[in-house]
Amino acid sequence: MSTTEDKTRKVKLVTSDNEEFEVDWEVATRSVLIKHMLEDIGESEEQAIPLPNVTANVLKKVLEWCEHHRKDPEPAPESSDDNRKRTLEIGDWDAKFIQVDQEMLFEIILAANYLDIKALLDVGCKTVANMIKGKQPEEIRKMFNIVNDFTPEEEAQIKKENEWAEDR
Amino acid sequence: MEIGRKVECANMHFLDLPEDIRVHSFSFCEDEDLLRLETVCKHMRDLVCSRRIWLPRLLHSEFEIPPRTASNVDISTLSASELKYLTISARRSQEAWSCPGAATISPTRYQEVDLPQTMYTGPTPKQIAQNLGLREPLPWVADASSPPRIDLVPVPMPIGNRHEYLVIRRPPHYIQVVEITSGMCIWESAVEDVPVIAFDVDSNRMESDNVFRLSTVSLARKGPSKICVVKIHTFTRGTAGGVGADESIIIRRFQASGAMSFGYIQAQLEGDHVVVSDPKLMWMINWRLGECIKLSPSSLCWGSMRIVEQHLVFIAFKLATKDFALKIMHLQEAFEGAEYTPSEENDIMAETTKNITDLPILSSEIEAFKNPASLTCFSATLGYCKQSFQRKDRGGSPIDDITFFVMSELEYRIVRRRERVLMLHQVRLENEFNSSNPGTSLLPSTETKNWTRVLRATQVGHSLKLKEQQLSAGSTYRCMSWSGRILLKSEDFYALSLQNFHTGSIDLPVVEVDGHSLKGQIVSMDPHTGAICCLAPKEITIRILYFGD
Repeated sequence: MSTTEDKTRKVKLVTSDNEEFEVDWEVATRSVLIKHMLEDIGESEEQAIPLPNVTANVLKKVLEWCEHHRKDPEPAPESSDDNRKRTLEIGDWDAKFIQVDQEMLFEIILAANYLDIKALLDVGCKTVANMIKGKQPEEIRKMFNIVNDFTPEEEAQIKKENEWAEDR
Repeated sequence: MEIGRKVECANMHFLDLPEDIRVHSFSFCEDEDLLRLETVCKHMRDLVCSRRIWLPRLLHSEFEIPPRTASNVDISTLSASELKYLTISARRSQEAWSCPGAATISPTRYQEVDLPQTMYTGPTPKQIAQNLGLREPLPWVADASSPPRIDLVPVPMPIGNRHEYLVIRRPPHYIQVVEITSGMCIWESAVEDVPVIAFDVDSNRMESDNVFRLSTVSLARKGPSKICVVKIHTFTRGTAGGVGADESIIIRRFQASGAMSFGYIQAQLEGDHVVVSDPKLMWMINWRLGECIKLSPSSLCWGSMRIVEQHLVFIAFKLATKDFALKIMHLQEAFEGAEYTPSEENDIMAETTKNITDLPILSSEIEAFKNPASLTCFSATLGYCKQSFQRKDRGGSPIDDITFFVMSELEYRIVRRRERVLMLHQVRLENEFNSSNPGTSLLPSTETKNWTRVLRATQVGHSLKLKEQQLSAGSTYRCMSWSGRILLKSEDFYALSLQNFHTGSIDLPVVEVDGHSLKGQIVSMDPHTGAICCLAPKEITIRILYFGD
């Protein structure tokens, strides 16, 4: 679909809190959702695209990511997803980008999921996995503000079941 | 579901993220992290301990040796905790057994079970000899000079490398079946079956409440001649949860060979077939139908005969060329072509004799013997592993999914020095176009004229030249399991894995338990699971060693 004209074309996006963003076509179409919407409305219309699930402060952050990754190659098709190596590695720029508070991290993940930006979703989810990595259950509860609803017996039972696999 | 709703930034919570996203996050987590997550809260436990988390992990993990499952197990029907166990144990097993550079390795866990203290009431070694019409008590039932021979065979479970039951053969050759957790003896061979000269267990493809089958091969006298009595005992799970022997015992008899009186016999049981072998002959028995085929291959390798996916697989030596070959024969097909002459004596099975060279035999491409003249000793051990879970989707015979490993041990004499070399070959059945490789022995094709199936052997990594101190013991015990563990007995018990061959490393770790080596103990490794059973002399406690399982 991409033509040379697209390079100069601008796209208008409107957030849930009614803020308007004007970005390059190439940046906006990092989002598969926006790309499909643009295809649907056609090139002639100068219509703003509503994003009712994304607030301005989150979209700003997401667009920052899209801007940096505007030249990235198209993501591989879904089918190869299962076979790719599950690595926790995140690029240097992404690692710095994702150094945000937990609320913002989850917001970015939600937005990436809604906007269908696979690579950004992966960055977010890997960050969550990194937060979990090596932590004890109590630390995880504290980190995510989760209440332990197990009885001591239930907790002991699960520990016993997994005993064989515990770290040596 | 939560995607469409407006999210209050201040209250954003990990558990508020859509389930798909949390599952996606967990796909980047380590196994150990997931185990810890299970105890965080109930909601997390339900999510983490689910099939959608563990099935992809099992399918897409890159295991050198895939987790073991019985051939009838369909992994799409396994529970989340079973999938979890398979995934983690396969990785841990690899880590626990192959520790590069380590001087020793120890089991991650062991289970103890005492020899049952029931009183033996069967015939004494002297009586056994008399019953069989032999003048002297047999050396293999009564040899005071060597420690009592005890065989320890754990029964594999449908998935993984754990065991619930252990089959013990004790002097003078009778069988006890013990429940491992309780140490209770749940079954003993009948007095008239002593001596049990060979036995095997099969827990593959068990139907309904059946847990495993035990075949015993006993030696008995009938008039002037000696006969082999093959009995099949089926163990089923009762209503109370315990396992007991089924009332129905299937009995088959055939004429014994001379070598059997000296105890040179082994048996393999899988499905409807029992294969009994002495060093020169093989008897293939369909125990359901009572059919028997006697095979007389020109030569056999002692100790490396197995039934795998309804195929008889064994290593045959060609003494003339000091070469050996892996041979595979489809059991069912062998019986289909056989003709039986009705026997006079109902009791003893009619035997159809087949010359093994008439059967579709595949010669392996192992060309291990560059200089046969200097070779002083050689032997080969068979191991195997199943490569794929998705057999059903791809069609084809289950045997196509098996990779056989043949570990050969060659001893050379170079001037005055001895050298002992271990080589590992992996062998697989492959379809090959007929004209391309005329030098290979080919299996006549059943499908099309142009395609034949061949056993393709390729060497795994490098040959390992054993160190001086590892040469000292003359006899070695080698066992290679489905789970890729190789136990080598020389001066001590050493742990080898495929990694040793890949890297060419001969720093073989000694197997230890609680800081003690297994030297001098009765040791056996279960070829299916790789669990090691050991019993110290004069002790009564058997230890079953698990590595990462």
